[in-house]
Amino acid sequence: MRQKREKKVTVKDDAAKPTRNRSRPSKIPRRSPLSKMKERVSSRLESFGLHSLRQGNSSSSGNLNLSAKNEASKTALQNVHDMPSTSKASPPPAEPETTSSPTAPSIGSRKRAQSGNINSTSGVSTTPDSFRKRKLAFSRDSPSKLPDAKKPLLEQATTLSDEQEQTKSHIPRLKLKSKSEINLIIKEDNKMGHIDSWLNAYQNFTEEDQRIALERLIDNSTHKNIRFMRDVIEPRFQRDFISLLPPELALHVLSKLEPKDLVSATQTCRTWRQLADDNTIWRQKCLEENVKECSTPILKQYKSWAKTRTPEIVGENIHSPWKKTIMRKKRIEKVWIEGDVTPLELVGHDDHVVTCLQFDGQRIVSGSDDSTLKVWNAKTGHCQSTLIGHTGGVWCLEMKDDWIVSGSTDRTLRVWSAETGKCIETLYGHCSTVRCMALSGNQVVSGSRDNTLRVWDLTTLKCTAVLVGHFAAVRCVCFDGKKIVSGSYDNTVKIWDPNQAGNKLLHTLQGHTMRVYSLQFDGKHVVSGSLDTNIMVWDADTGTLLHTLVGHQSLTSGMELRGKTLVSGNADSFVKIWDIETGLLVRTLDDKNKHSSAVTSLQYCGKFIVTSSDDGTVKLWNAETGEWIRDLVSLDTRQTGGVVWRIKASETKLVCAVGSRNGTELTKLLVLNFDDLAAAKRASHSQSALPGTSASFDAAAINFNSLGHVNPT
Amino acid sequence: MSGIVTLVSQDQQKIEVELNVIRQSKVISGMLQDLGEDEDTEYPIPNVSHAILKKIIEWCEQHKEDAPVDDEDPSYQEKKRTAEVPRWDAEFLKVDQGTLFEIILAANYLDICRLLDFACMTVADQIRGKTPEEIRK
Repeated sequence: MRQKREKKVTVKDDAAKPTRNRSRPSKIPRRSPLSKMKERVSSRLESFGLHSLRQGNSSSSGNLNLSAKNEASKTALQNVHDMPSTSKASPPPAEPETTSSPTAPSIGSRKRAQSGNINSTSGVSTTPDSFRKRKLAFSRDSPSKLPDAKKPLLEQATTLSDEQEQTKSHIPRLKLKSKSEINLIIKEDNKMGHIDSWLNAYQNFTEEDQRIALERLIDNSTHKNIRFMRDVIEPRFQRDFISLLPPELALHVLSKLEPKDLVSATQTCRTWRQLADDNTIWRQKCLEENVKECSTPILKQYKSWAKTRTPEIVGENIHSPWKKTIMRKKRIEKVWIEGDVTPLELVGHDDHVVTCLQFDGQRIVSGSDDSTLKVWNAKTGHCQSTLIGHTGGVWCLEMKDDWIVSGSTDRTLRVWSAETGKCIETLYGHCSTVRCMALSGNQVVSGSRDNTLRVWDLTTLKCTAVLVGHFAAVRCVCFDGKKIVSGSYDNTVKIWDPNQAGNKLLHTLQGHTMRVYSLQFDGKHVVSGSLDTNIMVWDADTGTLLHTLVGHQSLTSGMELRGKTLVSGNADSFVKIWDIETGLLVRTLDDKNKHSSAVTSLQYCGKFIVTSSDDGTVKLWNAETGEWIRDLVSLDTRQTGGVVWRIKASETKLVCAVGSRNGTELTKLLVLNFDDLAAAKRASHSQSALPGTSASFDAAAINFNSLGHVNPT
Repeated sequence: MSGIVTLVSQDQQKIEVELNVIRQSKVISGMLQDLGEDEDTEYPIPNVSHAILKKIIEWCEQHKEDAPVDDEDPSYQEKKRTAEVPRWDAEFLKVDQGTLFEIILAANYLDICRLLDFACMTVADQIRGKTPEEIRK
């Protein structure tokens, strides 16, 4: 733009300088002798480089003055040959000039009307100033206001002026030699008029003629100009869908986007921001991610924030709690994937084995074969209390609210208060080790090496039922409040109804040929893992075998069922994903980074699967693709005896019980916190590029979160 | 009963279309029910231009064999969330943005939920994976 302005200034200077020229414009309106007129016309045409054209086919002396004469005359001639009809159609040069008033556009318009090619191909020698002025005039109009028909002209005008910049060096000489600087002024005035009348003529065409005219115009345009036309026209077909569509349709479009694209959309412009921040979209995204409710702290924060804000801003959904919830989730996921997390080390239980581990997000409880349990604060890592009372190793543990229930080789269960660390009650009844336990509501079910199961009421602290039927130790138990499923060393699985009077046994599931070690129960399906390497899927209602999942080579130590997907960890060091509806193996997590020893524990955790192993590592896997993501924990002593016994994960934290059997690794708990801004930032700085993570999204997520921490109250 | 109905587009042009083709538009099939499936009746579609209406009918022709969908059905909701635009539809929707824009409006107006979905997905695909600067273009 600045360039254009400068040029305009020079035009004016040139025109104003020579005094003799100033007198001339006054003569123009008057009728001049024909010879004079001819001279002027020719000089004027000269300045357009069109002399030859106007004069017919002969090259004129005027052209010889041009520094770009050869080229110009060639192109001009070429034009004439190309379009004989149009050039013939143009009137004799003198006539239009004589009739022209300062505003009369006839000659220019006709010149233009002949076709764009005259100007475009001979553009090299055309007076730049006039075009520039025209361009200026056009650019004053906002292009969007122009009718479609004007487009090509506008394009040409602009390109031409560009072309002329390249031939700038010719211009001064050309102007001087033409000796008709005054005409510039007129021409400039006329130029606009020429185009206008050309356009008028065009607009008066029928639509069909307009099309033909445009076609001809394009046929006669240079490739460069056609490309230019395309560049100008194309954006006109671009639409800002989000801003222009009715809001409900724009939301429909946006709802198809991933959260990370929605964040980009938010940053695009104000309109997009308002739409893309819509709470209902984010709620939908949350549901898609299986997030059923806003996290309570965010909701609280939002409510207090909303109170202090004017209603209209709240109405705009600028601060969608759902969005915040999902952003937080994404940020945490990212830290899981690549965050540089330093684990908290919770040392305890000396060199004993941690046999069981529970974690409710705040509190960690670890049970050990040193007969004690420890309650830890997951945030600070402090040991809140050590639960002392059992006289034998603790082998199973459940927790709910303030209750901690533990089972031991001392044949008892103990109920503890998590808050105070005091033992509330000792439950006697079993006559051998309490090996497994399941808690639902106020009821806890314990399975023992005495072949029985017992149901206890935690409010009355009494045994409400004894389930007798297994012929060997009960190794695992599941309880959903209605049915109890137990797996035993007698190779069977039994389904019980503890609330039924009399015989409480519903089904005995026979099929395994060796001890049953692990169970999953979702109310409909029972999945059992055994030392016989098979996993069996049973119908809980009928007790019939649905599928036998064959593939593992050893004891299935841990399983987790989610919907129809089952993840199994095996002592053969493999983790497999199954579809229990079809009974087919979906995939084996057999990345080259897979565990090198028995899988000890696993957890399905949002988009991830976390597995621990005797090889001293905890690995993170993509639950969907089965890809190994990284080792979350890798003990220094992993080669020399360090093992990970148990893991428990919440959305934001991972607790691992680690140690060794030979004393190389001290028994301890490692707590990894993934809800850590610093770790998220470190992650976004480190260039460990992982699929599906966009830097801008992460940055936005972090920004968003930091905004969220500004508490308005 | 010939099974042909005549639609009149915004610019007053008439288009004949098979009944079982255009039934995919809930608005038109509703209109047919309300007004009776009379051969002589012309059904005005005042919000859709001739060119776009032709496109819409082309789409309906292609999809006339498809099982009807219930967009309230949660399983359909689930499916469409994960689904991609089928190849034919992707080709069909490879048009300039102005046309796509009109198609979205028309599909919405005529209540052809799958076409609307595909068209919206096509737009979403254009936004997907871009930085805010790229989107602005």
